[in-house]
Amino acid sequence: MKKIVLTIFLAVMACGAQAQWSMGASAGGDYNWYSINTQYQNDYHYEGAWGWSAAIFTQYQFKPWVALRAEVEGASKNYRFARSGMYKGTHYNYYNTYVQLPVMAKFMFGSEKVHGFVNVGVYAGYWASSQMKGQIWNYLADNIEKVDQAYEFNKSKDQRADFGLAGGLGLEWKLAEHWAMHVEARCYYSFISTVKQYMDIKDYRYNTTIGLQAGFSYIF
Amino acid sequence: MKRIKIYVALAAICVVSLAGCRPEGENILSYGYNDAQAFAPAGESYAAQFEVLWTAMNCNYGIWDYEEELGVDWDQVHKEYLPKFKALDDTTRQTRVDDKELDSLYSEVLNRLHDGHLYVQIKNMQTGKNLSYSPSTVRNLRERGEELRWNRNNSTDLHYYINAGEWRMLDFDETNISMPSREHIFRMSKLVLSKIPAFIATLPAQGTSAAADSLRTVIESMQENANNFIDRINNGSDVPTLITDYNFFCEVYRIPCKMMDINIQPVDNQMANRNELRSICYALFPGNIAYLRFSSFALGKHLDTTVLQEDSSSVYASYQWAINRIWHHWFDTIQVLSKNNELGGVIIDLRNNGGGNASDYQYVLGALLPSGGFISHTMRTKNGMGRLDYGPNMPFRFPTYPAEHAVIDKQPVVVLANVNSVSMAEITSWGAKNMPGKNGKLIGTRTWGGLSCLIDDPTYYSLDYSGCFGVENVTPVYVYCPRNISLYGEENKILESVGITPDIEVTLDTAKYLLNGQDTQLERALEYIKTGN
Repeated sequence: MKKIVLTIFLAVMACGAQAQWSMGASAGGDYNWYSINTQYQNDYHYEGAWGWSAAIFTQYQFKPWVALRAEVEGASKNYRFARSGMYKGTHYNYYNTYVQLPVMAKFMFGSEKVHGFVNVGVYAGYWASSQMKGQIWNYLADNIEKVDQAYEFNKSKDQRADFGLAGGLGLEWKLAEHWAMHVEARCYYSFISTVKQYMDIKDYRYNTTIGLQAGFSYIF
Repeated sequence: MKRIKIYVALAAICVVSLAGCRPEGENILSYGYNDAQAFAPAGESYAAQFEVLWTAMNCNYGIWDYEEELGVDWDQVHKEYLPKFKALDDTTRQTRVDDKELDSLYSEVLNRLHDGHLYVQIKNMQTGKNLSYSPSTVRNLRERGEELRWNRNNSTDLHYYINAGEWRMLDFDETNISMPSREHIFRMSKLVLSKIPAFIATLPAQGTSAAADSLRTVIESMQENANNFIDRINNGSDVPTLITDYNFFCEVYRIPCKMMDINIQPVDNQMANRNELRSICYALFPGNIAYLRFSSFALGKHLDTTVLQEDSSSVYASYQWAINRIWHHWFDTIQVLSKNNELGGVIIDLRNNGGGNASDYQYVLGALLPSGGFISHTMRTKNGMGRLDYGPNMPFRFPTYPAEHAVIDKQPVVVLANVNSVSMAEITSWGAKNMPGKNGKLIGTRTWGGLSCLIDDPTYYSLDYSGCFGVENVTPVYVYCPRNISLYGEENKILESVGITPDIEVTLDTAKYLLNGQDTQLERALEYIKTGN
């Protein structure tokens, strides 16, 4: 481990002559899919849902074509539960908020003024909150009940830690000597099931999120 | 350009290789109804039968989070008991698996669970017998056995309090509802008894024919049964049970009756159905206190005139008419007294009430509340096959009396309950403690502890893909358990196996009751209404 840290440190030092620090912020919208096996529950549907994302980031550029980027981001990973057929009166959204830390290598191509980039890396996240909002058909009273309540996390079941692959594709414009802006299509592909394997029957459920962000950065 | 291609290729390799890092879960069969594929293994080996029960309970039972709080580890049950059930399948066993051995294992597995409605039936594939489990009965017998047994064998009798000149009472028998059934059974029993001597005289002498001897034994048994019916009618026995027994008699002895030229006819047995109302009683106590007692929440179908039986001459129609008459006495009296500001209070006696239909709320506590429904508490249902997959909480809205009526929000309302108050009787007890006018009180002892709601018709399984599964007496595993889990109070507490605790705890003084019918719980209710304490 010491060797790896030392190697990275030396590499950073070696690139020091050309290196540039920058910091910035970005925000945008995202769309999340929830992968779940609904088994025999044929009229249960988990559909994707829109959300938001906002981040602050720092970037260390070693070479004109490569940089290391780290972010602190708040992002939605929403999805919608809906029933079809005779129970279609029931549908509600899970509004999930995650705090996550993507660390990515940024590869750039194009001119200094306008260039494209590819981000590839990993992220670690934490499922901070969840809200259920929508409606349920109450068949006992035969009426529609509005639902807007916090989802209560269950320690045994809910896996609040998240980890996965982060990647993006974008364009960056250098507006002035110290200022740049960018747009980026980002994808988070989680490897951690949102449910722990708390029962002998194995059950895995995953989030996959894509987003479109725009932001600016200050180059030191 | 070359560099771009390398980046894209690297990114693609990363995505493709890492996409395989998501393990996939297992596929589960649906155990909702008589699904041949799902239940088939349960009829082949004891281990498979246990697996079916374990898995189906894992997916369908609604309070695993609560069970976890109470220390139940369902996975540990699987680990611990699967080898024991596998041992039953051991082909080198010298003895067959008898009911006692199987019962002992399943009792250990199931009696740790806390749902108050849970009832499980397991078929012993070697003896063919269905073994039954009711963990809440076992628990209540263990913890409150004396009270439970006493109340099961004794129903409150108001005659001690009824002064014919001053107090009024109307109960089931006073409507003569059971008279036609009793008369029919009496007449048929007499007919059977009258024909037996002549028929026996036609048989060959005893000991000369084995067939004749066994027929004689059957006829003697018929004679004994017919005499028993006449005794029970003379002693005022419980009519629905009498009808059930008599109808069984008709079925069993149909052929001997035919041989004696008797066209034996059963009684319209809808009255004897276990879901029907077996008793209902109205009384008006001094101080204009209106009292209602009934055995189960099966009022609605008799009070709703749109579904009343069409044949007005049938025994069942007169039964429905009687229920209507008694309930309306209670309701109409409250209306009149309330309008005249003369109502002293209301007592709803739910002791020994086994529960029933949620829609009956409108004819009981809901008859005193404003129209438009009453949110008593919240409920949740499952929304996935995972043990802890629960949907949002939603209000549990009960119907209240829809037509214009006097709302009783000032005069005291008392619900009487005891350990034998189950399900809807408990939900109504909770309602009394939480009436919008704060004028309700629960008096008696803690209730049974089965406060959730279920629909046992398996064709409705897909409402939530939870609750009852299998078919009673058909599938090798059958489970009766709730699908709507009731959550009580601000903290949304599950009260299964706990029950509702009375505001005023009073145990019945059984010695006084046995001596002269004095009901100390009822007396406490009357005292509360009169004094406010």
